[in-house]
Amino acid sequence: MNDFYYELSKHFYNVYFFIIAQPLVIKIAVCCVIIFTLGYFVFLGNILVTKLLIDKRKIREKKLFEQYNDKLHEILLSDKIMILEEIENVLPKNSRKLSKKDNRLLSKIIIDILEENPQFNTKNLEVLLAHFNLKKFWENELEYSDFQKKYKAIDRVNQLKVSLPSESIISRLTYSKNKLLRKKARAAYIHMTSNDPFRFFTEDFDKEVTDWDKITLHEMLLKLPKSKIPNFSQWINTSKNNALKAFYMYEIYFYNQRAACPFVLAHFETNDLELRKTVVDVLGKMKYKQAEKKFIEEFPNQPLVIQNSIIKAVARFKNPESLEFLKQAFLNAYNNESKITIAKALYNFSKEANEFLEENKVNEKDYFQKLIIEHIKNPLIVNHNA
Amino acid sequence: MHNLFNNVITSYQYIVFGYTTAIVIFYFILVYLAKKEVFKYNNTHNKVDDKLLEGSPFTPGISIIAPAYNEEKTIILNVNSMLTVDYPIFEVVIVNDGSTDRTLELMIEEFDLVETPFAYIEKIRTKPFKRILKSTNPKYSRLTVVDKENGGTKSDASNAGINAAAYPYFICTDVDCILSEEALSRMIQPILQSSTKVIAVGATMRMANNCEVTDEGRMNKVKLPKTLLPMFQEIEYLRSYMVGKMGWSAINAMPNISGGLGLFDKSVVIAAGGYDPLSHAEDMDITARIIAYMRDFNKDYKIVHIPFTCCWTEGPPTLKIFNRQRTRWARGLLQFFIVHRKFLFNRKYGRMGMISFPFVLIFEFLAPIIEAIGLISILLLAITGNINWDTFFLMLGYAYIFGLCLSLCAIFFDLKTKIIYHDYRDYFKMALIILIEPIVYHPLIVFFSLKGYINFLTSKKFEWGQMTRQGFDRNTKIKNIEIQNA
Repeated sequence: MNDFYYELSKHFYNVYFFIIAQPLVIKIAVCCVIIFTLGYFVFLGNILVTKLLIDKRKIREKKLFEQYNDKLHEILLSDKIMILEEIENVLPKNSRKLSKKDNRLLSKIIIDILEENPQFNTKNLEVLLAHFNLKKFWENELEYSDFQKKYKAIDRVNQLKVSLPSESIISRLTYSKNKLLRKKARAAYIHMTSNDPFRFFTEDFDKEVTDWDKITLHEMLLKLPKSKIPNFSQWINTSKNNALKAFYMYEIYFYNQRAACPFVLAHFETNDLELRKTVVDVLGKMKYKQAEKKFIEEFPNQPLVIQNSIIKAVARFKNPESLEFLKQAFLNAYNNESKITIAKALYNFSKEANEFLEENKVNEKDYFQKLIIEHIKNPLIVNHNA
Repeated sequence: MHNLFNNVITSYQYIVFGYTTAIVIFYFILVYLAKKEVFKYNNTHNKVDDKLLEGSPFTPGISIIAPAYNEEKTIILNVNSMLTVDYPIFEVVIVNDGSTDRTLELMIEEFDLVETPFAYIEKIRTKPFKRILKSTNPKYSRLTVVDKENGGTKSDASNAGINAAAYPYFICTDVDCILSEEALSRMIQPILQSSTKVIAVGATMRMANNCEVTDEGRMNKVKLPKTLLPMFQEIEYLRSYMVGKMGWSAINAMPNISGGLGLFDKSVVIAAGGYDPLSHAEDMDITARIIAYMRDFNKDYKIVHIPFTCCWTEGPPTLKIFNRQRTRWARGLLQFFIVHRKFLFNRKYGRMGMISFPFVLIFEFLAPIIEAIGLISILLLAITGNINWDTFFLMLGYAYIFGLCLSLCAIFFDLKTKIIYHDYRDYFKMALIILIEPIVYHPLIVFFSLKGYINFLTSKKFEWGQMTRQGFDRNTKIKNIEIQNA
């Protein structure tokens, strides 16, 4: 054995001294060949290990599914409210002592059942989570695991409808340095806590508010009962973030908070075109007719995108006195896309407006202008100026 | 004279070595950047996010635009595939680009299409359009067919599709591509999640050869192609997407969004003038133009690539079709650098001008030329008996092993994103195929690239050419079977 190691080390040193005596080019090439060869085997090994892990997970998943799926269905879809002992009798023994991986897989099975059956028994779900100690498990995941697990844990807690015993668990995540985790936690905070759930609305949610944030925030608000929805006008004036203001305005429309309309209209003078457009769109959809006069007065001074929104809003108000405004807007429109918008507004406005369009079509010499009227009347086109 | 010859050859060998080492260093950096992006994406994206878009009032609409020229073999399947994408607000705009076969007739029959009044506004100039067709069947209300005169290139047809598109974002794809169900919801997310305007998003494409597709045009089982050429191309695509594009995306220096799959902000594309109908590399061309537009007007922007596989396309199954494809790409690349030479090394165009386009010029465009000259010099040395075979094999091994490592790294990143193949053994097959790829496939790329450059320089008249479709393998017994999640 010693001879073998001696020969091996002798060979190694021979090769080593041979290489360091070579030109730089050869040394670089040799080093790279060694590194890349090792890299090749490392990646190959990773592919193999991934396969083994997948197989292991599949076996574990299959075993858990066979053991628990039917019984979980029985418990969650039962009309009867079951107590802990009854649930323990249904489930296999030692079902309380599952590993972390099993807890994650089991949670997925429960979530699949909940999603397929929205009318599940909520009381039984609580008892079931207590039996498996899944509440504690996911709290620990939120508190002590790495970024990736925390990120996924927030979704799981929401999906399992776990109510956290203390908001401190999620609170810590709401000040995470990681932007994605921080935002996710702040959105989830609305649904997970009962004490000041809209705290982050007061703090302007985060440094930047993206469209994705609006989607997640809206989703969290939908999970709340209507009685817990706040009055969004309280933040419209105080928020410094225009994207967030636009979001609040949309929610005012969605939850039909008509008392907030004057506060929305007050933001029409903003320099932010997106926000101004939101003001017009929201008040139009809410049919806040008090805004009509202002919109019509301001129409000639507005950029095209705001003009289009004003047209749609006025069309929604359906005030017969505004017909003349719409007719003039149609005749004076210089942009074909705007003309289509106005034509559609007229088409849906009133019988008289329709007659105006037909008359215009007959008198119009320009084929394309006639085509616009045919276009907006076409029932096969479902997304006019989407 | 003999000494001069030897000096020239020796110098050239050092240049080639330096060139290869520079490629290694750059790709090392790209791998590092790609790894960060791939793992960040995988850690923060899941199916819960896709579901959030359903029914959200903030979800934007997307138009799927697909030019079609003589695609009668696969048009119905592909249109059905696009119509079954899982996204709440979208439309499909097929542009019949003057097909001479039964492409349009088949669509009319299958989808109950009728000519319909449509105020088609030509925001981007194209060859004259003839008519718009819509379906009388509510099931196909999302479908719009634009019938127009042939414009000679995909660009012209794409522009017509953009003119007819109703939504603020569009995906430009080839009609032979099969989109995954989650394609739109995955590709729109970078746009929604960024506070900087994202003007384009790319995603990974793969070969559809040998995959099983349902009658509804949905991907049922993803398999590695059976034949060598598409198999090599699959690996090449994975390298390009998983390492190249993910790496560039990390530093917002994407040189191009693939023409087979790209999500764009419609207003930016229109402002930039749309696709260039004369370009044979329309994907790289449009990417350059939208970046130039944003930079010319000092607007912040991002172009992002996601590692998720969103699309499958039929790879050229024969050498003849492969030749046509690669010479066209090479012509397009040379044409691109001539037309857009002002971007190169121009600080005004930021990372595109100073990093990614010079990289593509030096390490992709010039590579076949340098390799060809290198091969000639090796042959000369061998003939004159001046070659050091040990050094030769060492250098060959250096380049070869690097290529293997890079390919396997790309496969590894792909694996970490999603286990896509129905049979896991396909990953091991790929790990074996990459051993022969540099020997069999790479020389073909070099040859066809050089052919493409010579064709362009000798100014032969080019046509887009036709991709001869094989059609997809369809198990007709399969209906709406869910994809097996590994």
